[in-house]
Amino acid sequence: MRQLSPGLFLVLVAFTIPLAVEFRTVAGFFGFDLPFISMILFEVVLLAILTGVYVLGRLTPDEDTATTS
Amino acid sequence: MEIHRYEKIWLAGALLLIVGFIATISYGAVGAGIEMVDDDGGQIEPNAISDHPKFSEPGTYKTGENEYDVYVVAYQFAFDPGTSDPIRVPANSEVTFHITSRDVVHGFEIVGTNANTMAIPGQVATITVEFGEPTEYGLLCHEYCGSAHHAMEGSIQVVPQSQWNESMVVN
Amino acid sequence: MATFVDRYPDEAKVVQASFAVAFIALGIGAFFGLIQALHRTNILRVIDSVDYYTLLTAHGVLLALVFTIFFLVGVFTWAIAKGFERPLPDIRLTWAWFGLMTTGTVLTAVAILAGLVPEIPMSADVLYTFYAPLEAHPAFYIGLAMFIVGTWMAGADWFLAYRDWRGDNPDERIPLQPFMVLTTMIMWYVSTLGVAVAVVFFLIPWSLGLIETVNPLLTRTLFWYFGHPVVYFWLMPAYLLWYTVLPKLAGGRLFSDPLARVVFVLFVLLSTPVGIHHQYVDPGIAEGFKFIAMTNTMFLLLPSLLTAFTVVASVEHGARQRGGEGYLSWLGALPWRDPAFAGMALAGLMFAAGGFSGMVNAGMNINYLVHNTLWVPGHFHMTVGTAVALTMMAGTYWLLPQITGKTVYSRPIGLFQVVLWFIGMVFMSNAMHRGGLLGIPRRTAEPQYQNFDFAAAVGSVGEIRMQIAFGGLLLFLSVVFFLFNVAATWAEDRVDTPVDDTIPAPLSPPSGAPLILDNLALWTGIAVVLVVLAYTLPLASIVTDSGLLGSSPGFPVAISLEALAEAAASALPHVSLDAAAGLRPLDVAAEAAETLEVSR
Repeated sequence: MRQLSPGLFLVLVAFTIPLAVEFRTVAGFFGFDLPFISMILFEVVLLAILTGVYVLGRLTPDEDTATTS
Repeated sequence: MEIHRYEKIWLAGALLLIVGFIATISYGAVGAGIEMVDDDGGQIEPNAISDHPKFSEPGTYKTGENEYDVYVVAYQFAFDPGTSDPIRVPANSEVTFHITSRDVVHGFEIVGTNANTMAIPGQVATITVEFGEPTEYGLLCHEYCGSAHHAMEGSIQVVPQSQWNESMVVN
Repeated sequence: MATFVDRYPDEAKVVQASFAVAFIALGIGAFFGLIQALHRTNILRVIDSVDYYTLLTAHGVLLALVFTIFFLVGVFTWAIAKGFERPLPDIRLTWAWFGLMTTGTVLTAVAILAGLVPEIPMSADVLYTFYAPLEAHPAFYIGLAMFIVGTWMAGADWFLAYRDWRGDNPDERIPLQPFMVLTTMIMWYVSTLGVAVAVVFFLIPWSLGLIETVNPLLTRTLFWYFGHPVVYFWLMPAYLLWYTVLPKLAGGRLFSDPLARVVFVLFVLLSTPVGIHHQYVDPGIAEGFKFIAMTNTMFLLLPSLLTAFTVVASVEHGARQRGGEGYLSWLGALPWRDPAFAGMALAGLMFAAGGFSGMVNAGMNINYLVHNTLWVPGHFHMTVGTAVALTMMAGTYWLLPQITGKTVYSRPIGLFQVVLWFIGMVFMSNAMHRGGLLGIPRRTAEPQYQNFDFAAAVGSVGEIRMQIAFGGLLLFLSVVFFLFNVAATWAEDRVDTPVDDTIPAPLSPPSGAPLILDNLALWTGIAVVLVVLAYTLPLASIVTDSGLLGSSPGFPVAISLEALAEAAASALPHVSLDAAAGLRPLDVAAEAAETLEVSR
């Protein structure tokens, strides 16, 4: 698993927000009217995935990628 | 000057995008017939609006079969007509708005549509719009015009043809 | 190793002073922005709606003009001294323009903020576009004029430095950073002519009572003659940092020096003859002129699209130098932990989004849908509010150590702050764009109306309001963290090498650029010709139609008692509206009366 730097992790967290905010608009285009809560749930799922990748990368540093600052 | 191959491809793509935009806008103007607000409305003396044949008595004027002119005067902080009396137009008609201001710069926006223009003292803005089924639209001023700008609003009633009568036109 | 402050201590002081003014303006302006975001979304109203417009004027002037331009003169002074490798010709001239700009700023700010104090008979609630015949106190216009003249003197200072350098280096290419400064200033001289004429010949005499009337369409057109190039004036320091500093921060070097020069020359040529695109729905201007402005505007996309290529290519080169591989995974190898890099990269990314929303504005016929709606501030909070402001904040983390000799107090706070700005802007700007599509107007204290509601296609207007308010709150917090970090940095002790301030040579060196690119006189000439072509006929027809001085006397923003009664009465919706509306008018009238009472 590739190791994410804390800085990159924070930036990726920032990127999930426009995805989550516009997720409902995209669904609206296809005729699905999702409730407001779905936006929050979607954001939570994205954050969970990101956190998972981050933690796994920290736990299994299979190669020396620590040069990434 | 050395230009990298990828730069050339990008440059060509960028130019294509630009030409494409201009082409779609030209189509909108020529093909779809979306006219810009321009200098057709002419000028008016902002301090002598009461001398104007139509703006002195603003409101709806019939100009042809299903064609109407609506004269609107904007001022701090109302539309006349529009605010204290709604603008009334018959359903399924083609309406040309003539809008001017007697004091400062105002805006004229029919909410939820693309009917949108500026009201500038000394100038007359004209926009032609088509109204469909009977309904009611909101009207608002979208250019800051002073301390009670947010209170400057009004409405447009699209009246069914069956209920339309002579009292609703000025002339 | 010595850095800028050691080599050019006098210049460093001017840059420090410029940055200090910029950051004070940023703090005040951002605070007002927060109050507005909460007010217009009806979440928290700590001020009266009349004062909203005072704060809005201050927010616009302090952030869009004072913060950006003071930061710009700081960066440009730094770039000129560093690029020409010599001190400025006469530091007294440098302090003179700084003093003039600051005095003008204070004068204008006092005129605006006096609107909050009823005892002071001064008001300038005319917003930063100051459309006549809404009239401000003369101090507002005089302060603006002094500010603009100050920037002209700054430009003269930099051109004198260029002349001195040219005298010693007759055959060398102009170094890239000074080239960017000089081309930007040429654009600025050409474009500020419009606002200078509007303010000095019409608005100042009119506000002083020397002339009775003005032609509102003329002053408005002259304002927009300047009003579009000014956005490039804000953007050019950001471009300077993206071209010359960002690639270095990414671990590499600029991809192509010649292409960077081409881009700045294109901005000199095309920035000004486009202003009429802000007047697409103005009466009194023929459609043909609007069409010309539209095509010019579209071609103005070219330099920004070229910039996107060059900057991304340079950053990718840097990432590969750092060991990045693959088609996209090189992105992970970038120094995201560095607030200067991360901030500029995020700013550039949001500029891409803002650029696309700008293309919608530029589309003459689709502009009907969004003109003067909340879409427009949504757009420019992405461009000037993020591409420029966030780049300037990020750039501060690299520049401040050079001009003070002190290391940044906290890089983690810096990173957190730039990311917070990005997130806040995503919420606020996205919601503003969507609100604009529903027809919610800009520049309004209370976009909550009695006669109608706005209808949302997806979600609800309530959600849009929440997002705007939440985003505004995050943006304000981001500024608080930024200012804290800057102040804490300033309070640190001097060190020998606060930051690596070297800028590596570009991959494609300037020697590959045709010499003609450095012919500043030629580009100035062409720019003037293009402006004459684009503006002579529209201006001539406006003057022929309504006269040079028009017939509009001044109108105050706060109105008299009679007008109060009239506004209250006219706020009554007609009785024939649906029955439910019948109850509302009294509230409106009462509200209007309340509003106007305060304004007296």
